[in-house]
Amino acid sequence: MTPLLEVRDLSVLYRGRGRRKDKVALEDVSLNLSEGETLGLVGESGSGKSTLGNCVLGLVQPARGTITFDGRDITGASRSQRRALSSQIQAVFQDPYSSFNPHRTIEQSVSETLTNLPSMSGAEKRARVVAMLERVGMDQSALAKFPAQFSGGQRQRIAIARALLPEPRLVVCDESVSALDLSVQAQILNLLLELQRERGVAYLFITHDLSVVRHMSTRIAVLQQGRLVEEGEAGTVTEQPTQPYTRRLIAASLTADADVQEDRRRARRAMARLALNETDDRIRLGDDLLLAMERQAVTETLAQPDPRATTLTVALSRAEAKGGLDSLIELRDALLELTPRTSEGMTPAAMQTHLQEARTRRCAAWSARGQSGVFVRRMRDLAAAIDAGDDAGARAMVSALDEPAEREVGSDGAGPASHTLGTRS
Amino acid sequence: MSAVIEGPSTDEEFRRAAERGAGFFSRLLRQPLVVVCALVLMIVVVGCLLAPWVSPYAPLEQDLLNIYAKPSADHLLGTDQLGRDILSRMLHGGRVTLAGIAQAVAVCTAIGLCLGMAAGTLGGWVELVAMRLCDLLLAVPGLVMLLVVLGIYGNNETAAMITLGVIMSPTLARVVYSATIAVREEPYVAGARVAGLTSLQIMRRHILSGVAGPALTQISIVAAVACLVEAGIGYLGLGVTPPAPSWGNMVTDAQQAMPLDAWMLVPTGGIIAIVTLSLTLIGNGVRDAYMGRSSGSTKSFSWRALAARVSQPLTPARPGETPPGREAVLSVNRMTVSLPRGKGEIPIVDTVSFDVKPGEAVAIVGESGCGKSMTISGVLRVLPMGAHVQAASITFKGVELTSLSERQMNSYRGTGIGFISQEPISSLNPAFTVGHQLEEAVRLHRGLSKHEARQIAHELMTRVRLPDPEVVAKKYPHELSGGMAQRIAIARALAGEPELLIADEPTTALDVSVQCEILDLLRDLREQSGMALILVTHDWGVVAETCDRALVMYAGQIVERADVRTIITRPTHPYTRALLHSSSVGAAPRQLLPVIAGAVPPPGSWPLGCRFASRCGLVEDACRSGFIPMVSLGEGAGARCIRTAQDGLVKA
Repeated sequence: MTPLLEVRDLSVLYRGRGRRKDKVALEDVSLNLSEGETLGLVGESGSGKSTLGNCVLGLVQPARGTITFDGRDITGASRSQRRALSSQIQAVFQDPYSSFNPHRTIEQSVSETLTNLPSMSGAEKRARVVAMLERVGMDQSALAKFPAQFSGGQRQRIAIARALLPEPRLVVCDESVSALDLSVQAQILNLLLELQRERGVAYLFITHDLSVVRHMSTRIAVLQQGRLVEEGEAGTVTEQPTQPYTRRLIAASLTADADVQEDRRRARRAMARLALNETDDRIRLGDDLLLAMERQAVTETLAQPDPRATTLTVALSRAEAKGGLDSLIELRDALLELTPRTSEGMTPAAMQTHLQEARTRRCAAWSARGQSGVFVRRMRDLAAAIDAGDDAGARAMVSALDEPAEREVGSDGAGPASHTLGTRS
Repeated sequence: MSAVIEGPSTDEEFRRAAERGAGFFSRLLRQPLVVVCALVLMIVVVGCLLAPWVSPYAPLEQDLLNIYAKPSADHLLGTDQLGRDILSRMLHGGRVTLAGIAQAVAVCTAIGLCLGMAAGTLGGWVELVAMRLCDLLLAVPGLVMLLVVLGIYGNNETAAMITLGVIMSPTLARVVYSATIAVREEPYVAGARVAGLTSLQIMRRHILSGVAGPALTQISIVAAVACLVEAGIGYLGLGVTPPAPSWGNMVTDAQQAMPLDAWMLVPTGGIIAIVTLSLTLIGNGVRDAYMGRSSGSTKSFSWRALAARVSQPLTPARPGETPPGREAVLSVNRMTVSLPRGKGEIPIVDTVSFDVKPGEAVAIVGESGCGKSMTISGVLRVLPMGAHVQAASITFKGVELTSLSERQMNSYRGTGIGFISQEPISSLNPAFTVGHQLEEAVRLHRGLSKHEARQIAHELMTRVRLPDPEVVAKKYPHELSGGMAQRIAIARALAGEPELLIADEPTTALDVSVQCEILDLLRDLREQSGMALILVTHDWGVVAETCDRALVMYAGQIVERADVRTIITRPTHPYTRALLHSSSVGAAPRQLLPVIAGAVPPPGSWPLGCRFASRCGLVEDACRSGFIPMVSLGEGAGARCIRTAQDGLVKA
């Protein structure tokens, strides 16, 4: 299937004036968007995400590269060709206050997008506008009013009505919900999703908000300073990012859970201390980091709607079958793999070594004391507590994971060399 | 279906909004000065147009027995040196002048508007050619040109006034051009392009309405100048040849007669002055109306009336409102902040009480329009004009702030209480380097010498972890990134070693990774110095990351207070719960979010009972029947919901 929108090696240059240098806004960006899909475009300010949207809309001319819409090259489309396209590609902009001409009525503004459709009678036009306005939750009385008479959320509804009126196949949503309050934002996101289901319209969804983009998109593209850093399925990009920049973005986004935030902060600080202090107290700091991240993993898992210790359970069954120091290390490793954020994929490479060292050191200590069984049992209890949703228990257990055990309680009764991980129900 | 019509705004809101959007003419007509000028102008124009019928005498009719007559019943404005009636001559002469003005204005408007709008909208070579043409025209000496034209066309007024219109058009073109450029950048013009409008359609529908205001102002000035120039031409005897009257040659006559009779100057010069003045004043009125002001219609006020007022509340404490804690750094007890509207005032913040303990971080959460920012403005007494703060008490470290004078209050702002705003770059003065501004703050709050201040400023910049403090100190605010500017703003707030830092959406304008750094910095600073923090935000993530306790505000009231962990995991008030649920963080991707229908009721139209009632899923009759008190849930926690006390339903 040919994609609806295909962007190939797009580069945009903003010419500097006077002493100001030229600025590369986009460099060799390639993207695809299929019919009915939502491609989320994330990046920080200056990443070129809005420039890309404006190129698709024909508001900015690229220096190089091609944009193909429905199999037709529209890169250098003339103004009249653009006008013909206007019923196919539409836009909803960020600012609900300035996206309407304050001097024109809602009817005048909304029906503007019908200009280039085959001519229809005034009554027909009005009927379509009214039907569309009603679909977005506004009533007919809005027609004769002026934009200033509506709230930000209402105006954004009207902007959506205006964009979807000519039944476009692609809508560029440039930070369409960023200026709205949380409750209004949810209303608008729902409206966009519903309209997509009804009409099969594709969205190019541009935003700086990772959670919004995760919520809306089927695919996500990450831009950094004009370059495409990462692109893929929405779930993959947000949960198993491969690029450091994407990881940084995800690590920096906040969640409304004080426990999770506290543990994330603790891990973040442990990393910062390690990064600062390479020689001094490497062992202690490495241990701190491991503990902090293990706690974070458990807390994050518990914050899920339905907490499951899946990776841990799998590792436990494998450990029981295999045994040995390696299996202990695998167990600890599985603990961090519980959540995407603490997984190996999300951890900076520089920290990986510290974590591995600490992990090996800790497990070797258990094994040397001949208490591998105690450790495995603790892990099993932890997994059970997570599965049972026992928040306090699980968090207490992970904090006390490396507390020394009474010899007689957990001793395998064998030397350090043998690790009998028998069944201990 | 999620699409829900948002709650109706009040009539007041509608009226104000309608004014802003469309009421250009009504706003224009509400200025008495403009109305008077327009009437005067209309009388002059109609009088001149109907001169052959209304003038009492013929313009050339002489009454040699009655020369230099003073105003009388026969001759309302007197007679001139040949005994001709001045009023009649003025009315007849005005026809020439007004026609001249009309010609000049028409030519100037046509050229200026087309040139300016085309240059601004189309850009490219059109812009280049049009603007160079303007430069060329501006370089032509106008007066010489006029005299040449008059010479060539044998004192033809029409030719002269058309030339004048051309000469004056570049100024108008430039005004229109710059207005067009401003409008061109508006998202609605981009929207029109996306909608597929041609450039001509965009110019007609969008640009024209945007440039109309400045253009009309400029055109009124052109008209006034044309009036003066026309009179000047007549005065020099170049236009209308005597004895035919024109306003210009009447002044010449009056001037020659000055030693004999000075009165003649009054009507002849006066009419020119009146017309010119009227045109200019109408121009000013157009400008004001366009900018959304109606300058003439404001009621009389004094500056004192506009200053923020502070007073004690009239209503006694209601049950459930906790008395201030002893150990608090800041204790706000029953504070109401009102803004003037119309004749009365409407509350924006309604009877808010809260404490901040030393070292504690308190979040004020809520949607826009709920009064979060006004609450802290009330505490800091940094308020819009005419605002009124009523409070039983606002104490900072035991000092009653409400009883302080403005000057005394100043010594607390910045020193005891630091403040950082949402817009870091615009909170700094663009004219000075950031280092200078930081040193200034240090010197102001600590009274140190210049050298010491520089050192402290350097320390502060290190404390907020700015890389290369020496380099950054020499930069101007616009040269900094948002994150760096916010660090400078924090350093400046720390200059007075505050015990309480108030931050109004400190990270909303920043990128996520920078937000994270700033929040970490705030936490570290608090841990080092034991400073308390009030953080205003709408982002639950920021609350969870930064704060110990949270106050949720809705429609001017605090509706719930609790420690952050409780409020996020077990919210009590239905609004808090709904707000938490409507976040897309952690929601199932591409599934509909649970939404709160409707919108926050605006100040002035708050219902009697629970203000959230119209949007609440658990609403019952009792919710609307009367004042809803804050129900205490122990340990400083509470919720303003009748169900809190009633049963466990809300907690479920």
